[in-house]
Amino acid sequence: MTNISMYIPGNSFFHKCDSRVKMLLLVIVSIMAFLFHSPYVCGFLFLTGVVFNYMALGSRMFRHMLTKMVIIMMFFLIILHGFVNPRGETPALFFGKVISLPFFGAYTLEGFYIGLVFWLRLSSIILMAELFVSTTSPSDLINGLHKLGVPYNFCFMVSMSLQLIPISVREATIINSAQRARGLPEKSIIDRFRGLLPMFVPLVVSSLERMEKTSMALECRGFGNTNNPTNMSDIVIRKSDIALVAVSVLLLVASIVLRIRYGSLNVTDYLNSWSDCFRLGIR
Amino acid sequence: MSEYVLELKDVNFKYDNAPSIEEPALKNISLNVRKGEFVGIIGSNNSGKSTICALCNGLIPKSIDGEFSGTVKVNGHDIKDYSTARMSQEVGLVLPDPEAQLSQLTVYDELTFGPSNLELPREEIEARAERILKLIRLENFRDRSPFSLSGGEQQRVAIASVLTMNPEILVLDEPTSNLDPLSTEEIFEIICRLNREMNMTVILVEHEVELMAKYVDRFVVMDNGRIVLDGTPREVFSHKDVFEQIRMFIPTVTSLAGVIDEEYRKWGRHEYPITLEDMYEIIDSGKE
Repeated sequence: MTNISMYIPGNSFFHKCDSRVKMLLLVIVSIMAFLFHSPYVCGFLFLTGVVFNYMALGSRMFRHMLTKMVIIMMFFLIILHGFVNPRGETPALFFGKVISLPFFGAYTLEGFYIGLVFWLRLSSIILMAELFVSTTSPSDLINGLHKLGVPYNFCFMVSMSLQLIPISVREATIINSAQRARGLPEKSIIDRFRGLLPMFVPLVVSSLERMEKTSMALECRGFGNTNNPTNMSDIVIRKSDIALVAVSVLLLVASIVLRIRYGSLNVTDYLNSWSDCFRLGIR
Repeated sequence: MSEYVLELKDVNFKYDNAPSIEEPALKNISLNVRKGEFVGIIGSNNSGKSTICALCNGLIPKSIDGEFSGTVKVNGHDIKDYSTARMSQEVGLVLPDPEAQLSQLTVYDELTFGPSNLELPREEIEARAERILKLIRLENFRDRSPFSLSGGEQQRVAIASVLTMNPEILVLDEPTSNLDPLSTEEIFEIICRLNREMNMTVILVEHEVELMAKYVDRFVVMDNGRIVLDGTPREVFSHKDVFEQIRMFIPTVTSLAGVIDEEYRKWGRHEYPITLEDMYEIIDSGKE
């Protein structure tokens, strides 16, 4: 049975991290990535993301869905932006030649620069999210949410819904097969869409029935007796977690100060050659 | 304190969610169960077996709506005065659908879920979970997702997760209805062990009459919301006519003995056999 959670069990530093620490890390990286419009800052965050993920997952990180997403995005953002970005003015020279596409025109330096920064920004956030989802077991996630003050019943509801998705998918397949066995047309795409409706009703009814049974079983095991069940998780905040939080908060504060002092380091308006893309851009 | 761990007195119940059904699910049921007894409840569908199960820990009348009258006492406590969570520490209820009873991410979490809701200290919960894992032989599944297990294994997890609440009475509502014969026997074996070794009171609702005859001390036969027969397996199965009337089967060996009744009496036996082993014994003694 597949589990939709992207958790990969392991024993690394990040696996033993409190889920709140990882949540904070994700928030800080997201803010920092959008504070500056510079390939240096965003590249730094990107590299941090890669290193952290590698520390946590080793080579398994390359098989992770989100890593693949980052690589696919590289092609889309860097190549497409070069051609289609409306701010593109200066054509980029590839060994003295301009590459251009019909309808879209030439590949521009501005497009490349914006695409690159945007890719780095998004990928560093995606990589941080990957670190979070792949090293946090759903029960730790629920625990973390509960410790952050989210009511226990709500946390429980979230974890139950996570569990229900694969079950509903399986149930939908069963209902669909049963209806096809009774002659549900499935030749054209329109037929398939029509087939969704008769599937929907039994699916909802069976899920509701199932939930009733589950709630009875939960009640038999004392659910609802308390809002503060005994915490069974091994995860505690360690000194190294505090250090990690301290460093990332310091970095955030420093970058906010730098942003106010030097601006967003955006050089889009001053691009004349490839090397201009990698100027520091301090105002 | 009375000698019975479970007392039902003049209980009537009619479900609210089935208004088309005029008849109540239970009609004037009175049933007493002693500590350590292994009671099997049998009867055709809609005879009120599952309703009795839900009564034992107070799901009826608290969570399931309906017209309820009479008294149900567990260890002398009236179920109306306590919450289901409180009652579930005395009565463990296992439901028919194993998958719908499981909700956690690992088998171990499933086992610790119940007691953690009781706010017990962590050491106590861990000790209980370890003990039950060993008892139900689930050590190898500890970190597996309960949804990746087979039906029989899931039902074992469901039983284990109820046992961590430390109930005195275990009530099982058709625990083997979705299982293959091998898993069914496994579940029966576990239940039997709990009864014999830990002196747990067990109430088992099932259709597997033949298999039950091997294990239970007492049969309660229900039909249409009433208890029609109540007694040891031998006593119950000697009422062949009643079983015919309520359209239920009795064990094959018992009906076979009925067919060769004449011969049977000659052997000087007055009670019908109920398991194959009994039959062998009788045939052996008949030869002599």
